[in-house]
Amino acid sequence: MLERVVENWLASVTEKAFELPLSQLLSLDGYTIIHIARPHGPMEQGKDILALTAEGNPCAFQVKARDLTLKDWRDPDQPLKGQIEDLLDVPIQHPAFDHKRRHESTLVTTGVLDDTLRQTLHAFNEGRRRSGKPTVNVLVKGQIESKIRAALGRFLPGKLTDTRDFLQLWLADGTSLPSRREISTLFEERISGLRAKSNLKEIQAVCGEIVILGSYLAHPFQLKENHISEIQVWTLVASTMFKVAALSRKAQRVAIESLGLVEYGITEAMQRLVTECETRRDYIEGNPWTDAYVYRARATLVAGYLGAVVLWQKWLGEPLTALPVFQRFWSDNQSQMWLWGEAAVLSFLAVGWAFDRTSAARESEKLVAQLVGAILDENGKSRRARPSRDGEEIPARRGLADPYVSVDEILREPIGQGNSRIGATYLGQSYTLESLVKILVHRRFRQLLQTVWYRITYVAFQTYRPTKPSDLWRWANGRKGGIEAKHTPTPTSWQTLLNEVETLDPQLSPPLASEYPHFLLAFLLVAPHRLNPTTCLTLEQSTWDGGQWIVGRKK
Amino acid sequence: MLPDFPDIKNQISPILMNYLNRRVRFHLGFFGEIPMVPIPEGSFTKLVRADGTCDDTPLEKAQGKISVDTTPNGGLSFEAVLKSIDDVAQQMALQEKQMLFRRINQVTEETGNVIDARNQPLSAKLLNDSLEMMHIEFSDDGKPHLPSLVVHPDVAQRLMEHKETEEDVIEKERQDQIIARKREEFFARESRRKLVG
Repeated sequence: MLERVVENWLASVTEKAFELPLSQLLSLDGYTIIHIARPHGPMEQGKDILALTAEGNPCAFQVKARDLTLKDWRDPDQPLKGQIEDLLDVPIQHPAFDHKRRHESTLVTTGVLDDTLRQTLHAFNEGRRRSGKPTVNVLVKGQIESKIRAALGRFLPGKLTDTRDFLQLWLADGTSLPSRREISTLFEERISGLRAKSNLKEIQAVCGEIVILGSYLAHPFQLKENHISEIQVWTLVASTMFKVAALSRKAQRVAIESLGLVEYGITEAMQRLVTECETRRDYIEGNPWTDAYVYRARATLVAGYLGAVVLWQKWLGEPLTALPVFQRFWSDNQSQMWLWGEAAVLSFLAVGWAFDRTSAARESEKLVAQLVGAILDENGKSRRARPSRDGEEIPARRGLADPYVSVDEILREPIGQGNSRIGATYLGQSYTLESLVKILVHRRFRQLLQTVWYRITYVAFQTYRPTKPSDLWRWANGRKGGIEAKHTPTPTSWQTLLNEVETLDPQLSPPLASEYPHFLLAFLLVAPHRLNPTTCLTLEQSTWDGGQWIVGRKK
Repeated sequence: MLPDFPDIKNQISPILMNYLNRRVRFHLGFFGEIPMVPIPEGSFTKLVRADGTCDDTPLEKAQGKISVDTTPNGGLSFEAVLKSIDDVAQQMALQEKQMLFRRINQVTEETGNVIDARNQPLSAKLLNDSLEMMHIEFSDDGKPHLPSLVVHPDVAQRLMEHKETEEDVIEKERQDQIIARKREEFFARESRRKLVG
């Protein structure tokens, strides 16, 4: 059945979406990916992927995602012939390549070549061979299927439950948010056999498998152009790579290589999100009658992601195409932002950090102060209850839900469908308040803190403490680790707070997070329960400058 | 297999879980009023108090066994299922109560907050002695949040029937003094809830 999935996927995947898994397949064949062309980047003269073979020979690939015919070869607007000639004859312009060396060229298609085109290509290559010119290789559907089968070799005959879980995810309708827990569990299961002593081939196979599976799981969302959900799937692939990277130096090298491809996938999806938001007149989805109930949840999510795109582009040194779109979205929708639970805090922070790093607006401080106030109102010591004017009973407070509770669950409760938080209360505790306090301390907002400190002392700072810091890259750790509830000392020393923001707790820092803050931010948007004082300060202290694309980076 | 009704069953399942939860709270009696805080991850909780002292608490399991009659003669009635859920709720509530008492005993013994009555009957003096050792919170306007007394039903009956004695009057005065002192301590604590240095 999974072989049919491979076939169906190849039949519907787009060119751009195919470049990422193809790069992973090439990497498994020993190629080093140097560059993946982006639709919004400069022209690459017929070259979509640039790579080096294991022997160091330069290679260029052109990717098509359909059956090719003689009509394509002779297309009056974009003849395939011209593109292939460019692929073959225009030298590769990249500092990593030796210009004097001739490159190998390959046309890759997820479809097949019809007979006439096959004969034409044969004649084309013959002619070039006779004149001493390089010829083009061709990689078609059947060969790609074999490569995928080899890459997923461990998965295909896997446990039935894995297969069933995978199929359920693959058949997602693509309009909602992805099933984050299930996707993470699937990936976690795939990497569970890796150890610090695993050999290079094993690690490469697992990383390759995760990226290919990620391509499949992102596919339903790509088809529906649900970019945020696609970003979330890729982010979960990335967090799995970080988990692998923590095993050994060798594992880190391999995982970071795959991470480079994921970075490309996320960037592409982010760019498409920006393009969509740029052109939309409203942000309603589906039936407006029912959309009113969920609109604020969507607005909060989109604002957070647009903020994250701005920071992501800034980190990679890309033009900030997302900035005007983000600013317009914020100006239109800030009144719609909804702190539905502590999991929403990240969206607000992403917005704040995006403003911080791109303008002099003090939006960030305003937002953090509002968040602190809202958490204290909801979860803190209750102010004296006043009977309502019409004598109605004041409903018992429960506090803002902890960041483990998803917006879906919150939305279900008022309509009698929520069941996961029966009888639970969050009063007197908060998982995000300490992080927000640390931001204000880092910015030396002592007076502001002074005005609310009395109320802060009534809220316990909750923190999940993992057994190993790398467990923080996991969606869920089951019974590993524990929850710490910390009350602030009374009185609290400002100097102690200052010292705390200068020394991050290594136990709460997922490995490599500070080297890849853009991935950390994306991960926290997917897994808001991983926000802790250290991950928060890592992002707060990042200048969001000086990052480099992983693909093509000097090792 | 015989035809099933998975969709409706999927909807009923959480409703039954909700019912179980409510019944556990009911059977917990007084303890059912204790707020329930979710522990979403991990296998222990660690409390760090304002004075820096710590308390590690491992998670414990409460479980029960559901048994319903499935024979054709007995039939499978929804009432029977609700009854069996209630039975489980009772078992779980009992275990939770035992855990709570065990924990309270452990903590009070560790901190020395135990008064041995040495077989004396419960009296106002004994209660005041224990009140002396307790941490008491107050509302902003100074009203004490006095603790609840958990006793055996027989003792509760005796307390209800108890007639005031001279000693009680003296102990009432003592109680007022204790509360006044604790109020001062509370406001002193409150005044320390600030940022300094």
